[in-house]
Amino acid sequence: MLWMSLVFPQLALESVPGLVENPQPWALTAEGRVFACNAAASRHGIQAGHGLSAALALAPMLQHCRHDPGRDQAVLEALAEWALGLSAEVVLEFPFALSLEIGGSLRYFGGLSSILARVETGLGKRQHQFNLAVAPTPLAALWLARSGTRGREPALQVVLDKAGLRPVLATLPVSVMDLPSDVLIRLQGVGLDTIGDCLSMPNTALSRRYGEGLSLQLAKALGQIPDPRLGYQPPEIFCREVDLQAPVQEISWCLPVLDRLLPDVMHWAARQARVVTRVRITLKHELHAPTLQEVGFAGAAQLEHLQWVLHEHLEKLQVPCPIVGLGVQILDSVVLDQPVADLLPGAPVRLREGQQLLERLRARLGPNTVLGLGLCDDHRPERSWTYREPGSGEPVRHRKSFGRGGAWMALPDAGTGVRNGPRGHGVAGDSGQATQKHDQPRPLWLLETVRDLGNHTLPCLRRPLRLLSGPERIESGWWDGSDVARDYYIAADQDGPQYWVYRNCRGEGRWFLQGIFA
Amino acid sequence: MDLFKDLQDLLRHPEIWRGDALAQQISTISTGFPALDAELPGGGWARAGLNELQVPREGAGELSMLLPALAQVSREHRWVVCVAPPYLPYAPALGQAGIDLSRYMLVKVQSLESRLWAIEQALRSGACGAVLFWSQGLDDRHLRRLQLAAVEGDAMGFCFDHSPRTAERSSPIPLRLALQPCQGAKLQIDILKRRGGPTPVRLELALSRGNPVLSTPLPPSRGRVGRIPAWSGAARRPDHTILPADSVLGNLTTQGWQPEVNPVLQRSAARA
Repeated sequence: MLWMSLVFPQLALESVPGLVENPQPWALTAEGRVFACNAAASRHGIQAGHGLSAALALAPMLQHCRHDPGRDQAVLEALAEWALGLSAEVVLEFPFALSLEIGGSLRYFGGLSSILARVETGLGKRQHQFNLAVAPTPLAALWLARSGTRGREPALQVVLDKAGLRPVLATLPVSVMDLPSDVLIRLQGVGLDTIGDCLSMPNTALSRRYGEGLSLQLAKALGQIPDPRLGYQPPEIFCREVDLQAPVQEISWCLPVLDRLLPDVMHWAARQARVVTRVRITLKHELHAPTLQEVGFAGAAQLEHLQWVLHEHLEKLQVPCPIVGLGVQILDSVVLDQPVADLLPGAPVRLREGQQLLERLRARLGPNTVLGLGLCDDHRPERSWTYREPGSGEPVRHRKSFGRGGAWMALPDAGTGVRNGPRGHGVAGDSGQATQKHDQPRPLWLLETVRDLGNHTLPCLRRPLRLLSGPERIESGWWDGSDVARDYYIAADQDGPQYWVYRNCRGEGRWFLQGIFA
Repeated sequence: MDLFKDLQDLLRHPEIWRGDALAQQISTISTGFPALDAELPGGGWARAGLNELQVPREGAGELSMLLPALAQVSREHRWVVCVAPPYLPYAPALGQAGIDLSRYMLVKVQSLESRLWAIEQALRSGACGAVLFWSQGLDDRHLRRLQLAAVEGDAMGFCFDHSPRTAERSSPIPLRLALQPCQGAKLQIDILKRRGGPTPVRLELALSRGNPVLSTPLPPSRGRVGRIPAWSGAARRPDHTILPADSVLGNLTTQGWQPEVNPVLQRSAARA
């Protein structure tokens, strides 16, 4: 067993966004006293423990808000969630510390130095100040970490074996232990300033004078008796909320706050081996129902992508009144499927990039601007295709010829495929199950609305067109009210372009232009 | 033999740049037309970069000409993206040409800004094999940016240009072709600009409405310019005329005319 303890000396300040780096003096208060204050306030001489009135006397412009232990706990739990990426057993040491059993992770991560590097980058990204210690027992690690310097540089103390524990612990002050304050005062009163002093006393005498707790803690710290811990169990759902320091009207000002939550979203998903498919962003207002924005993803596997798409959606939102808080909730996620590696190098499968492109385009341009195409079983050209979700799993069968598809060969008389006449005068209306024929040429461009070309003998587009081939009769749709009977021709202009024109078989036989062979 | 060795030494001089060296390095995708492949650097469309297709008006066969390459791209599970097309792409015809429709994406945008943005995103994403777009409103600055995006995202960009007299304008696009429809479903192609080879070159492809069947390079005697022998000094420009840019729909007018006898129509009438 090897335990790592992380102590966050500034956690109370860090749990309020934008307070640590704020140039204005800020303080958190509890019971009329300063609980913690930022660097700007320290420069004015304010310290934790000062009365609020004394602090205000030192810095009249001091801003303060109430310290909320619940908020600290939420942040600590978020950190525990992150720490679960390093170890299977993470213990919350209230109020401001975490203990991780890393003995089992050493081999996986390739040694202690690699784990320490991960801790440094992980906490650096989250902008937390921390002290770190590694020891064979959790309590010893915690005490070592607590005794660390409180400067900007994180303190790091490592003790790897129990034999080395005693001399190291002996130098620590008694204040690092979890003792009632009156016990601490009495200990210091008799001159027991360090743990070493306590250890030199007979155990029974210590227990009689200062209670069982002290000698128990010492024995646990030295590993003489077991110290079982209850690990942190992460919640099954991800839902996190942050209160803003001051109400803001502009959504763009909330985005940095959102960005701080998103690594946790990714981390939550990664730990569960899932990818996020639906996220709800809640913008809280005072005196108004919160603004909700739900965003769907095909699978947000990358932080940058998630961030970009959410920003695009949020920047378009209109809020009725100033925003006081922001929440992120994962509504849906799917189990991550690893990308299928191609057998041959050099042809990577680009499915995920395609989905990401789709989401990016839709986030900026609107949901109905990016479309895919699909085929429909209908002879009428305007109904023989449809918009589809791009890249949707729906298979679109290419029925180039009936001879090739295995399924069609196997079911010659299944009634689904009605083979049209030999020259393709497609009359398939009778069966109601029209099958698209593809042996006739089709134009690559279709006009959104057909264009009238007059009712002369020949279609007329500036000048009369020459008919190159045809007719191909398409007669269909009597059952759905848009009955058509048309003779299609390919017509050519003098200077080359070819058009797909048809003549109505009924009525006065007008010509229409429907497509262009491009 | 000494002479040959001397020549080899000379060619190794760092200040001598050989055009064909560049052309062979690029990764390409076949156009589907051997005659055209033979003329393009690397033997096909460059897999990364823009190509300009100057067409006097829609319907010259500019899309049919791209179909083999687009089909190949979609078979490789890469996307074919069409940004703000002038008409509806007709799905059955695309399917007929072998394009996997589940890899086809249509982006309908109006404003120039969104169009540019969408084109750039598509080119840069790395997911797209080919991006089709139309040049109206785009200037050199935009095209240069898109060219960089295409190289970065390993995508082919096809820029259709219907504006008049673009041939004389300079452009950052490395491959520029001018297309002109001619009688008999043929497409006349002038290579106005290419890497590592002399220009202009004229050739003719036979397209069969929607489906290319065969390609026939124009015999040198018939062509006005034909294939200019490599490195023959100053290359002449083809004096082809480009019609004013009129969209088909823009100038569609029905006019009175004298009826004429049409053999196809007569046949159909007789059958009826």
